[in-house]
Amino acid sequence: MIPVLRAMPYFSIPTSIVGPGVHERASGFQIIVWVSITPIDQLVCESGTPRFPAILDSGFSDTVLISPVQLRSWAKLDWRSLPLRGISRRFEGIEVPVRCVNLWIHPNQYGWRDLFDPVQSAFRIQLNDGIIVMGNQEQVGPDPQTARLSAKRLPLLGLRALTEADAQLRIDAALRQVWLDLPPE
Amino acid sequence: MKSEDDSLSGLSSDGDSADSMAVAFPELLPDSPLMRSQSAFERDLPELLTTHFKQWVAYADGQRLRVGKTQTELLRYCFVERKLSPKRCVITRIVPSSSSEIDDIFIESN
Repeated sequence: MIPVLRAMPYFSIPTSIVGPGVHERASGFQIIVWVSITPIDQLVCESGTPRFPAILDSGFSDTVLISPVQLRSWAKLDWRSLPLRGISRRFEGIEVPVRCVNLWIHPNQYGWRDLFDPVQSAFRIQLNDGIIVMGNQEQVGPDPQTARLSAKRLPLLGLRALTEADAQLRIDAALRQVWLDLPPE
Repeated sequence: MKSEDDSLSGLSSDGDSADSMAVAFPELLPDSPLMRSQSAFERDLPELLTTHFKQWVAYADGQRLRVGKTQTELLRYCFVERKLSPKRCVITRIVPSSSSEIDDIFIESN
């Protein structure tokens, strides 16, 4: 297994998340990871690829949930440009199409949350199908009701993504540290 | 579009709905290259589960192109070697259909 997150802290109090183009706030006890999203046919996460925070939420039962605005602002991608996968997931009884992307996780500098490993580049999470883009009153699928679904303040990275990637996640709650390993391809 | 209950989202017998979807989401029409690939995958899945469990498979325009051990191998094959459009391809893992496993997605508040 390849270590991706090493002793990455989470905090019991609200904290600022600051990065290029990013000024957000994490609530206490939220695990923040830095990710990138690129088109499915872009097989390399180049050094200038925008990265942004997501909440690692083991209670979220899909892969990634991101709003159209977050996708545009942070990943510099429009959801309309992301190919459909041909399947859907159901949120509040409303079907939302799954879209194909490459998802990357940025390795942290040991012991830090918002500083990155200067040597290792981002690791791609192999998603079986794709991600969900919804929110901001935008109709993102054939069902007009998709426009009434809301996203979250920050993108979510759910347990399904880690499961599909055969990842190993360890949360040391005593030390408030997170460790994530990914298998080599 | 295949969903958990295998219904066709937005594709009712209502001509207006079908027409508006054809404009906004033409890839999801049943005879589109994408949906023909998805249908072919669903047709082949029972066999693939016995022969290539947890490997990856690529389809384009309703045809199976290749089975591979990693997603990267198939992404490279489809988009670099064959220069196929991502909008025509289905590249997925050979596991029991995720769409039949779940009901509503649950989102924790944040």
